This record gives sequence, C-alpha cells and structure tokens, in this order.
Amino acid sequence: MNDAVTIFLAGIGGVFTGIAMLYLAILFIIKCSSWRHFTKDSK
Amino acid sequence: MNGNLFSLIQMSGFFHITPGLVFMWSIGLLLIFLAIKKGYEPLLLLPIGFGIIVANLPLAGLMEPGEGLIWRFYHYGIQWEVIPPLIFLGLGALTDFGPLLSYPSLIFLGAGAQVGVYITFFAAYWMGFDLKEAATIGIIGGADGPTTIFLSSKLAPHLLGSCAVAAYSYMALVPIIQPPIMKLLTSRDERRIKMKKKTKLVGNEKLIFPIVAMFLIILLIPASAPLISMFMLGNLFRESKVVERLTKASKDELMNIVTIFLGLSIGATMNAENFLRKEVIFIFVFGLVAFMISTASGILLAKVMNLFLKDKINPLLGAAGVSAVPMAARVVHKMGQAEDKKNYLLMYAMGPNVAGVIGTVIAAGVFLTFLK
Repeated sequence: MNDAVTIFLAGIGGVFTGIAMLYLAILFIIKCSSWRHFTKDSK
Repeated sequence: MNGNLFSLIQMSGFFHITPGLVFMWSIGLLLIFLAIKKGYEPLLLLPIGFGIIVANLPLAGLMEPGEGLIWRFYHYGIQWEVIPPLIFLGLGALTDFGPLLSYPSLIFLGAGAQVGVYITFFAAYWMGFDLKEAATIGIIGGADGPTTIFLSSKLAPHLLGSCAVAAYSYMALVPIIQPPIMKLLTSRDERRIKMKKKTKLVGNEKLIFPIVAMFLIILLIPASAPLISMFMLGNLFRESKVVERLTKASKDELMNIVTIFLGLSIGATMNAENFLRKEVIFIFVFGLVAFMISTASGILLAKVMNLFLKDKINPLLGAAGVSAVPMAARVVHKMGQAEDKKNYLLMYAMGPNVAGVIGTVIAAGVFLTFLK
C-alpha cells in the first residue's frame, strides 16, 4: 500500500510540476518573442 | 480411405472450434459493426475487430510466438516500442500549439484531468490488481490510445488488448460520457462565461516551444522520452515549414501505415484465454470511472482557478483536459454554444486538449519510472 501511495503522490506531483515548468517556459518564450518583435519594430 | 478423411477433418479448423473462440469472433464482429455502422473510431476499431477474429481462428497460428505473421507485427512493432512513438510523431505533426501558447494558463487544465488517472490507479490497486496492472488501467482515464498501449505493453502486456479497446471505445464515446458530468458540475452562468481575448503570437513562439518543451519534460521525467521526443519532433517538422514532405509523411502515410499494424496487433492479442476473465469487466468499469473522474477533475480545477484569476475562464474547458483530441474540445464548444450561440470555445478548448496529451505522457512516464 505504501508503494501505491508513493506513486500516487509522485504522479500527481510530477504531472503538475511538469506542466508548471511548461507554463513558465511559455511565459518566457512569449516575453522574449514580444520583446524581440518590439525592438525589431522600433528600428 | 475413411481414416485419411477423418484425419483431414481433424486437421481442419472446424474440428477445433470452441465456445470461447465463437464468443471472441462475436466481439470482433461487434467492433467491426461499431466501426462501420456507427463510425466509432473506425481507423482503430476496424483493424482491431479483424485482428480479434483472425487471431482466434483455430490452428491459424497467426500469433504463434516466433512464427505467426501478426505476432511479428506485435513483437517488432509494439514490444519493441516502435509503433506508439511513430503514432506520436504523426500526432505532433498534426498538433497546433497556437491555442495553448495564446492562453498559457489553460495548460494547467491538462494536468488537472490527470488526477483521474491516479485516483483510478489507487482504486484498482485497492481492488486487488497489482501495481503494474493498476497503472495500466488508470492511464485509460487520460483518454490517449497510443500512451495506453505504450504503457500497457511495458507493464501489463496481458491487459494490452482490453485496455486499448476500452481506451478507444471511451474516446469514441466522449460526446455521450462527458456532457452529463459537465452539466452536473457547472451552473448555467458558468457555462455562459465568455473567454477574454487571447495573447497575440508575434514571433517564433510556435517554433521554439517544441524544442523547449522536449528539454524540460525529458529532463524531468526521462521515461517519457520515447513519446515526447517523437511528438515534439513531429511538431517541429510542422512549425519549421521547411520540411513539408516530412510533415506530410509523418501525419499521413506513416501514421496510416502504423495504424494498420497497431490495430491488427492489438486485436490479435485478445484471445479467449486472456479476454474471457472477470478482470476484463473490471478493466472496462475502471476505465470508464477513470475517464469520468478525469473529466470532473479538469472542470473542478478550472473552477478553483477562477477563485484566483481576474479574467474568469469557462469551467467547461476543464473537460477538454483529457487527451481525446479534438473530440473533447468539440464537445466543450458544443456545450458552450448550447447555452449561448455567440460563445465560441473551440479554439480555447484546443489548448487544454493538447496539454492533456502532454499531461498523460508525463503521467505514464511517472508510472514507468516507478514500476518498470
């Protein structure tokens, strides 16, 4: 039963951690992309 | 003369027909009927149904280890982990991450819908399945056929056929299973929420995302590498716009070819001995429960997010967090339109829908990390 609880918690934790990392990555990519777009426009 | 005739009859398949085989033929015929007449996931259920029938023809030996034709497809395609990653290559080439990148917070709904996977895993274990079997049953809740097959072939090959059929059946039944849960968990006002305008993509976001996502997910859960790497490669083909031929080959020709081998092999694993057990009934029941909980957990997470967000999101979008692409997104859109004809949710729902694919692969990766 202990193994099942460990997998259950690690699973939910792993999925949310992975998705949270992707979320932050998306925000970063969008920020960089819009900043580059802005600087390109201002030239 | 009479003796020779009798031994000829004895060597024919007719002499070896058993009630179990006849029952399996009827299952195969039922799947073929559902595929052709009802249009339920025909690309998979048709070859699966046919595979069930031919593998259960006595003395045909198509699944004879080391010799049978379909056994070779199964062994080199599925056991060698070739076919599911190739399907993911095609899925990547078909996927547009644009809706997800335009509304990043919706990505969490793809994680919320995986809660059902783990709750069902726990319930199945509690009901007497071992850890590997319980993981295979739980992943059905992700509503992702290739991932279910991938995990099942590694952890519980004897459940492969029934889990795959359960997963694809429930994916086909999304428009029937999800709406009552969506209605039950949301108020009319919530279903009428209109989404605020999305972020406009101005640069190379769609090109950069598959590379960054591949790095992050594989570094976090290395066991997810076979599926995630191919998924992101397919998407990179698509977004790079410089390898049109490869994109087309991945999403059309290659995908179609491997689908034939996949369906046939899965069907052929379903012999009377494996399938006619009471555990299979549990698998179908638990698979349905997993799928229902996944739908509910996605919606509930959307409602929790609304407690913190300034711009409220329509909680129906949570139901699209399961990976049945694009069926779940279409159902969300239809439900939204049923309340307000001017509420267009389809493009927003595609975000959590593709996030659900990633979420299910991560969930499978965690299972593999602990149980392989």
